[in-house]
Amino acid sequence: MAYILELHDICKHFGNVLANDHVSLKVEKGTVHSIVGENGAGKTTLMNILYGLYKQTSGEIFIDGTKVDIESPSDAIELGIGMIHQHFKLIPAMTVAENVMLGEEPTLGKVFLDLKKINERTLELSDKYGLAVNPKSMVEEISVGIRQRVEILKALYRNANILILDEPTALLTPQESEDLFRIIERLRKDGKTILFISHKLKEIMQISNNITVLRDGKVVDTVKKEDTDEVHLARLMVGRDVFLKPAPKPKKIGEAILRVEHVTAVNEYHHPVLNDVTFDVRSGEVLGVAGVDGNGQTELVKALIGLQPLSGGKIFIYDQEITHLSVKKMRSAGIGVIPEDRLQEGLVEDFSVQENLFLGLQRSQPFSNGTNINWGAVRSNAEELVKVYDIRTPNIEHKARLLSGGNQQKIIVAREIFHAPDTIIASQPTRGLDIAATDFVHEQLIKQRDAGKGVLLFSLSLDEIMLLSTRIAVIYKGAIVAVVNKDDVTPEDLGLMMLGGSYEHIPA
Amino acid sequence: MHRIRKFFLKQQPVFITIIAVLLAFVIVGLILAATGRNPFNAVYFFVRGAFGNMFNTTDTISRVIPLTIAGIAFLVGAQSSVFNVGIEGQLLLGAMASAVVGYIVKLPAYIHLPLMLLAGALAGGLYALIPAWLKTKRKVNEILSTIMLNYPATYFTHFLVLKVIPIEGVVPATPFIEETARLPILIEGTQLHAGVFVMIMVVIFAYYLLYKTSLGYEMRAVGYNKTAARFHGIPVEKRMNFAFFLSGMMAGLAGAVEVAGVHYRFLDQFSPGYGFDSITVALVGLLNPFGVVISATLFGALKTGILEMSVYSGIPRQLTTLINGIVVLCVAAKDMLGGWYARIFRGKDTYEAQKEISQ
Ligand SMILES: Nc1ncnc2c1ncn2[C@@H]1O[C@H](COP(=O)(O)OP(=O)(O)OP(=O)(O)O)[C@@H](O)[C@H]1O
Ligand SMILES: [Mg+2]
Repeated sequence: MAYILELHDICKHFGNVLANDHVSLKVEKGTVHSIVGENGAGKTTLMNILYGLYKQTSGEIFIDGTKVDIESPSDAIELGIGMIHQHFKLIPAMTVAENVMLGEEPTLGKVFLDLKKINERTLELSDKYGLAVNPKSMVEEISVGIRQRVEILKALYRNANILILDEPTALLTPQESEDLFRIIERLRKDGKTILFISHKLKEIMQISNNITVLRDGKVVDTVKKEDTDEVHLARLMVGRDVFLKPAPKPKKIGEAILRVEHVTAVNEYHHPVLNDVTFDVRSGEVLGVAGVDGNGQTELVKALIGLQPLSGGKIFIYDQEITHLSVKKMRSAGIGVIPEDRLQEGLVEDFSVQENLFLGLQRSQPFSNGTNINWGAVRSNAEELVKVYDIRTPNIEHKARLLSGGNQQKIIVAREIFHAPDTIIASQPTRGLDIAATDFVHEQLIKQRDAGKGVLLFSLSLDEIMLLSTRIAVIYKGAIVAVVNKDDVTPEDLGLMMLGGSYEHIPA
Repeated sequence: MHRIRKFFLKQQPVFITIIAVLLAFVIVGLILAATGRNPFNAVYFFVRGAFGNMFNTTDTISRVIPLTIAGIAFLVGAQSSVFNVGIEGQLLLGAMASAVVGYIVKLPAYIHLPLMLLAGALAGGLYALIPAWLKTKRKVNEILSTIMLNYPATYFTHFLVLKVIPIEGVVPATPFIEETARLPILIEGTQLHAGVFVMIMVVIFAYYLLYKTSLGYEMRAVGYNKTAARFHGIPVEKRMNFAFFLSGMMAGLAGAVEVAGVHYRFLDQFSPGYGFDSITVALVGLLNPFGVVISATLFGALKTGILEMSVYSGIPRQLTTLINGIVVLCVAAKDMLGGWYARIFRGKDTYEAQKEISQ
């Protein structure tokens, strides 16, 4: 068998941290080779080494049987390696085609851009692999899923034979993920090799040929898809059995804590984004919000924490009206939030782990007397949360920037759940978390629920909504079109409603 | 060995800065050698000029004082992502306001001195509220607005001493301030004045504010990530306005201390560009309050050391500007140095790679 890529004994140290520990890997040409492992297992590090962003401390890389030395991403591109980053590096004010060609654009007489050729070539590539992008649309106007395809196009245009996709589905809706898998399948059939990382084992089982499991920087095993299943993979990853289980029935549902009445909002172009939204979250329940991405979820979360100007309607916590209050006042009225974008909204990357673990609480007891910070309290809080949530960091003074994606997410979730006020708004709380961490976060959310708090859960994953919710609200085009008891619906019903299909309203 | 390596890694920014500064000196040395002068001789006179005797040392310190206070002014802004390049203008207005309070008002010293310093700080602070308003309400880039606002301040003070305030003697200046508004000289016959205590207080204040208080934590959060700050209930615009005000206050205070401790009046063009140097001082000091003291000492010594060097070794004074420029270039080229540094102490990652990932 010809291996297109071989890694021999790759080690990578970051100070005292051993992120990759003698990793050896053989990847067959024309296959989808997945890499799975816990948060902080070293997956991203390994991919970054391959793409020339990091240099391995020791070990060798072979491509098509020849030893190579990858010093920089341009070396990697030269060798036919392309990487699709989770945070896209596209220029929003340029068209798709211009982005694809950027740096290597065809020109007329070396001075003027040959726009016709640029568009034609982009279209050609896009058609070849069924990417279905319009070369002329502006990047700022296209969805996350399409942006990702533009990244793929960029790599293909530079003749990538090996494509690295690091958690490409974390930001995608289930439908978009399916589309991506079709594209991946097509690329594979065309002889491309794909390295794929995901925490969703279902996806791994769906698209992989081979799967390598990493734990603590070491290869635990490489298995063929046929020889394994989700349960087995999870066991290899964490060293014990983990299943995501449905939440137990709520103990006692009380009065409404958060009430939203006829809330309406428009965006900067005066298009309605929230349309007469009415619902409530009761003490002791999880209200899941199901909907296709972009139907007003982001705006609703912002409205509930005071960042979205409203053109009408009211919001209450218990009997206190909190509409139009500042973020600070809404938070102190009893709203906590796990934002969907961890790097932009949830964390200050240049703050240390301990500083991040009391962000938003910098004026509350015991961290502050209102004026001065009590660093002793900050430290003991951080030490406790790092232990309870298993945040993998060398120490609490480490910068959050240097943690793995999942461990960054754990910081936010730990902070918001541990110091939960009356209502927790959890937006994609388990994005980027491994299966064990996901299970743990689910447990913690349920624990808060049973302590009498109200949980409002936003998730692109219907599975997660079904596992945790007591009631489910369906959001479509900025409106809540139905609120139903979880036990009264099937995922299929929900799927229909999310696309605007009608449903006989079952009073909840 | 491992622990040594770890130490050097952790202190990477500090060492890179030191290396950058040393590199600048080596380059200057090479230039001297190339023009047929003895660089070691020059170093000798330089050090003697800066720290050779009591007089020189205190002269150096008296320059370190305004550089440090102005450096802190830039730092408190920059920590909240407010890049105040208008420190020179705020410093001049502060100096003028304090000089006016110093010569017009008659009060006992224990109240006159604080009052004149406060007047200087307030003048600088209020002036900085203009770019603050432009930035937070009108979204005008503060680097442009603050740099432009240096001009009105310079010409306004110029106009005052030339046309409005009665001139004493031949130099354009305000009258001398009252004895009660002066910072006492600490050592008879030298330039060392009590402004050094003001400086120490300012440094400790900045450190305490930024790292020990909730307000400072919020300012730093705004400096690093405005979106996250907003999501966590921090009033971003308010904090930025405050950073502008505080930065302007410190700048004004630097001017007031110069008036109260050195010139005893507002002397036209008294500042050799302390406000502009403050940016370099703060950046070389790695935006750390104590780092600023060290880097201000370096830049203060540059100013005094070169004087003596030029007298005794025939090296032109203009070299200060050159050395300053080379230091700035070397510090700006830190990323390149960082790459080499990382290769030595970390295996072979390039510094760029680290940054690219962290974006
Ligand atoms: N630039 C860096 N400096 C220091 N430590 C780092 C750096 N990058 C990664 N690490 C550490 O290396 C380890 C592996 O991180 P990596 O990002 O590869 O994990 P991962 O498997 O991708 O995890 P996740 O599933 O959470 O994304 C972690 O402990 C992380 O803290
Ligand atoms: Mg990762």
